[in-house]
Order: sequence, then structure tokens, then C-alpha cells
Amino acid sequence: MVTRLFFNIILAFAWCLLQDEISLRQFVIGFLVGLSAMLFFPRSFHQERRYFRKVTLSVQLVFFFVKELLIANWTVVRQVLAPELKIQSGIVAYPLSLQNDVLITLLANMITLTPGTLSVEVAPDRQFLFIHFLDVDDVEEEIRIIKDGFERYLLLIAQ
Amino acid sequence: MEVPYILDALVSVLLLLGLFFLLTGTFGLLRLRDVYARMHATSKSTTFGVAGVVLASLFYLRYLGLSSGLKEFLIIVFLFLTAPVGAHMIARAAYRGGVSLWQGGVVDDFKKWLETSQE
Amino acid sequence: MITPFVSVVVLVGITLSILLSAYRALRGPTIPDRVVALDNISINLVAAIIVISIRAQSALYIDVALVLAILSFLGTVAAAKYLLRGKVIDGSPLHTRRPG
Repeated sequence: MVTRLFFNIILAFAWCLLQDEISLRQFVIGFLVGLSAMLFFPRSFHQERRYFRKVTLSVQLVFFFVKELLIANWTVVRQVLAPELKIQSGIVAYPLSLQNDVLITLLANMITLTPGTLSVEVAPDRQFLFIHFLDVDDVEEEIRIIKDGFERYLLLIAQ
Repeated sequence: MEVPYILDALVSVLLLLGLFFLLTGTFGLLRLRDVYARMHATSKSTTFGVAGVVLASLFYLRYLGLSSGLKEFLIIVFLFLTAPVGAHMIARAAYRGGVSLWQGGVVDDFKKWLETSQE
Repeated sequence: MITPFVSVVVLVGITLSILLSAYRALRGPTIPDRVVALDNISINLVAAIIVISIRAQSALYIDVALVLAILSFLGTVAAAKYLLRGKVIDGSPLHTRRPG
């Protein structure tokens, strides 16, 4: 997985040099061209397909994250500017399904960037992520939202 | 230098949007009741606020041909990488340093976990 | 051309925001509160410098903003570590050790 990503980035750089222009736009085009080239010359076709799927999932995750960020930002703005504070905050133990350190870090960072939730601590045995919620109505419901959202994407990428 | 109306409007809207989020973050910092809640206001609205202002400068300076826009992009990426790390570390240090939650809080699973794991 | 006018308004707003954050930094009541407030001030400063880059029509300010953002992150990390351990540089890891 990592070597494939590395190879793809080298291809993207090669594309930039061929175009004689190192810019984000050329890099993205080069990345896509490299990706399709890798699909046409597979070392093992199954593995290339899996890599392709992971890249698609990652792009989907970025869009999903931006969407969540906008919605949650609006929610927090409303809560802060409301004439009276009706928030009940608390720290919730979130049971982790992920076991990969990098992906847990990514999950914790995305949770912290999304307004309304803030990761406080990861249990050393990777059992729980402790999340501070600005406004918690139903603990089960809040946990389910993260499970079906961010963590579902990350689990699919981790496969 | 003259810039087209659309760019002018876009830059102004982005700047005002950024200011709105910055002020909301500060307002939350003053108004909310404990450190953790205050951090929700700052670490987030502030990131969004800076992103708005940076995007405005990206479009403006790029149009004038003064900047490629890569550095502005770098600021946004950098802030989005570091803001959650900083927030996480402060929250963790605060909790372990004994700053308690506001009494109106409903659940505190972390306290239970700390008590049981430190036997 | 409303950008020059809007940028002045935004600069005034950011100044107000910094002053309000300074109130929280002075008032406390706990040390983490002050750290969060100071962090908020430096982020506001980054935004202010970028607005100035638009007003001055110069890309040089962008580097200043980037460096300030990096320094502010370092400051926050150092403060967090100080709160946790009572020292900034003591060679101990920041995370709790994993069993096994």
C-alpha cells in the first residue's frame, strides 16, 4: 500500500517535470495519470484494484469531512451565539474499532477539527477514545454518528 | 491596481466570513463555562476564520501575480494539521492537571477510567 | 473596489477580538484557560498579518504569518508539556506508554 502510494507520487512528479511546471494542478493531473497507468500495467490485478479503491475512498473521505466541518461549524456558531446557553457537555468513552496507530491519529484529529467534539485521550490499549462533547443529548446516538461516519471510511481504507 | 468586480466581492465576502468566525471563537472563549467548552469555540471557529482570510489573500495576490498561492495553501494545511494536535494536548494536560468539568456536564467516562486504570 | 474598505473593517474586528481574548488570558481562572486564550490571540495575529498582506499588496507578509503560526503551535505544545510534567524539556515521552 505504502510503496504503491510512493510509486504513484514519483509518477506524479515525473509528470510535473515533463510538463516543466511544478504546481498543484499538474501534480493532481500527474497523480491521476499515474493511477490509471498503474491500473493498465498491474503487478497483480487484484492488488491494483484495491489500491484504486482506497484512493477513491480517501477522496470521498475528504469531501465527507469538509461537509461535516461546515455543518458542525454552523451548529457551534449557533450554540455560542444563542441568547441563553443550553448546552450539556461531557466526556464520553468511544469504543475504538480501529487498531492502526496512524489511522487512530487521523480519526482523533478529524474529530477534534469538527466543532462540537474534542478528543481528550486515547487509552493505551487502544480500547477507547475519550471525546469531549460540547453538547451531548444521547450518548449512544453521538457514538453511532462517528462510527457510521469517519470510522467507517477509515476502516474501509485500513482493510 | 484594478481588480474585477467579482474578485473584489469574493475577497470581501471571504474576509468578512473569516472575521465572523474569528469573533465567534473569541465570543465563545469569553462566554462558555469551562476550558473544554472554550476550546471548542477557539480551536475550531478560529481555524475556519483564518482559512477564510487566507483564501481571500490567496485569490487576491494570485490574481495580481504577486504569489503562486502555494504558501497560502501551506498555511491552511499546516493549521489544519496542528490545531487539533494542540487542542488535544491542552485538553489532556488540563484534565490531568485537575481542571474539572463544569457541574452541568452530564457524563464523565474519563474520570471513571482514570480511577480504575490507576489502581 | 470595496476590498480596501472591508480590510480596514476586518482589521478593526480582529483587534477587538484580540482585546477580548486578552481579557480571558488575564482573568483565567485556570492556567489552561490562559493558554487557550493566548493561542487564540496568536491565531488572530496570523489572520491580521494576512489581511495586511492584502492591504499592502505584498506576498512577503505570508512568510511572516507562516512563521508565526509555527511558533504559536510550538508555544502551545510547550505549555501543554509544562502543565503535564512541570518541565518543558525533560526527555520524557508525551504519550502514556503502551503495554506490550
